[in-house]
Amino acid sequence: MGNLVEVFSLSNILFCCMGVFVGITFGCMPGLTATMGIVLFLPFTFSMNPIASFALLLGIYVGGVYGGSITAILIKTPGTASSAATVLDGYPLAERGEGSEALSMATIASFIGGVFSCVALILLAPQLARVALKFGPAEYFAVGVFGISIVSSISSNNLIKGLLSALFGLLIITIGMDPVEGNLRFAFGNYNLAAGINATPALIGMFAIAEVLEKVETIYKNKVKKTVTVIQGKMVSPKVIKANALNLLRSSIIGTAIGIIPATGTGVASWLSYNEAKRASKEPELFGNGSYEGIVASEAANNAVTGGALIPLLTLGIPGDIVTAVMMGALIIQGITPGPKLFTDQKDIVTGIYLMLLLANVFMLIFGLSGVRLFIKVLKVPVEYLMPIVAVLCFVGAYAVQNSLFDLNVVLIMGIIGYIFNKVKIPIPPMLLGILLGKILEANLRRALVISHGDWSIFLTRPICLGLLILSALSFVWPIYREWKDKRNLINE
Amino acid sequence: MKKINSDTIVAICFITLAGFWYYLIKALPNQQPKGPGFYPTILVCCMLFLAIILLIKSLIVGTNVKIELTKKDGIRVLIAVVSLIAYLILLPKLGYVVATGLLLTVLITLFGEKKKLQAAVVSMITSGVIYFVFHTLFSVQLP
Repeated sequence: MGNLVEVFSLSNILFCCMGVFVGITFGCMPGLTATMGIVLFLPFTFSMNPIASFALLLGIYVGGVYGGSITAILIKTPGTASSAATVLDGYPLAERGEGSEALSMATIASFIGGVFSCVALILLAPQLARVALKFGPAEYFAVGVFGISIVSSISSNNLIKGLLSALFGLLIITIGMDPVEGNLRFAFGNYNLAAGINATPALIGMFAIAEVLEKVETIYKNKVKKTVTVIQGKMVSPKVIKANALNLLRSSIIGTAIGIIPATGTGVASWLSYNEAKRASKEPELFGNGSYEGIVASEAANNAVTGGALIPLLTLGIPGDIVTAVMMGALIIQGITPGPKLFTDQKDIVTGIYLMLLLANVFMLIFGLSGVRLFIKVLKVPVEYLMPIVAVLCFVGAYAVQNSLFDLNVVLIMGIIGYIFNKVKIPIPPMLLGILLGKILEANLRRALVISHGDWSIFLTRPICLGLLILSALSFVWPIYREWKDKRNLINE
Repeated sequence: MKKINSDTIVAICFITLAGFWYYLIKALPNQQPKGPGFYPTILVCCMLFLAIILLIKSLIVGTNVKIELTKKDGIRVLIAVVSLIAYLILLPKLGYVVATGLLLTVLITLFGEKKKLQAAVVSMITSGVIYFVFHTLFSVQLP
């Protein structure tokens, strides 16, 4: 119990609070994301103790995911990809003068989603850790395959290009030393390449810089910036909240599940949840015109990813999404190796993480319900100044990860690639999947084959591994089947 | 048979990449069967296979991808990219504050700010602030 007092020390609470504040600010500014916020503050955590650093980072995470809803609702621009679905119903509500209610609904939904996933984390993680202790290379390989199988659900209509994108990501991760024997590959005699491509600068490039380039191209289109002056301080009515109880539960479950699946994140969760809510709704025609159900679905799901994504990170050492991938870096810097051992050897840190996540959600609720006005002011910064500053901050953040100028080249190149991919409609998230899962896939594939002396049936004879592979096959095929069915239904109508 | 479209070009690029990478794999010093080339070979084969499918699909079914890029917008993007490249080259030579200040000025002007002097001043101040914050608070050694 003495631990509890230590965990809730004043400095931890303050860091958490600051984190949420920063997170919401980053989240609500279009062009800035929770990922960026975490990367930019990562260097700050080097000198902090583990729980304090997680208090800060989790705060930014939770705040950042939520923050996007503010601008999504008020000015039709999602602050982060995770709130893209919130725009569809949030903005129409704001236009009708119900912006304040919409905002409070988004806040409450985010809070419930976040807390639900935190509870799921506390209940499920130790169980999964126990199972994970039995994991061998074959199982870890299967988990990686499962992560890649998600490509089909995030590449809609562009499956082949999505797979090519994932393969591209997998391929560039092979640059450097091979994970099993340390042989140098594809380094062209450059010692920087010999260290391999670091995931953080790569993802900063392909998401943030690509975005900046996109904005450079489109400045003179969409110049209309509508400033919706709302904020009457009106809260959403409890009746609406009650009516959405089932929606909240379903969306939270979807978000948590997506969070658990390696490398998929808030963007996927919010869209999936939105679509499911629409299908289950008694008034689907309201979706897109100002339905509270839509906001609830999107926001509860995207915040529910936070707890879910921590589960594979802490139990398997596999990031649940981009942000947790960066957080993994923070853990390693502190000398903590994520994995099942964490739950046996360093339980106090795990408990600290649980509690800080919970606290972060509480702060988010407080800030969201009371201080939205403050965050709006941030939007007054004109895009001519904002985007260049974002670009520069990206480079600093990327540099700070390894103090490497070479990483900045990675940022730029990935940024250009990201921009080009966007232009020819090659989906980018699969490339991220490839980058995050590449090393795990190769290392474990080869180790498993070494253990089985080259016998590929090892993947089919070990029960957990087989189960995961079957799950992967299903998760790959299911969205394709669904789409085919939907197309058939459309033709028949 | 449909016209050559962006998907066709994408497919050709990936086929080229796969071929080039296969050449790199074959150039590795360690050519053991389950060695360093094993896994990349699997990847490259998959890439080649999929790229060929994409090529065929793009020529038979076509694509619904329309690339809208006017010359003016494209030139702006090009200028942005060139400035970023210049930034990375000049960074170690001019030091963080100066290089970033210059980059910011260029980018802010590119984004449409007409008052060049204001852009330059803000750039310098911002660049200085960032340097200060990261150097002093976060202990990050910037060039």
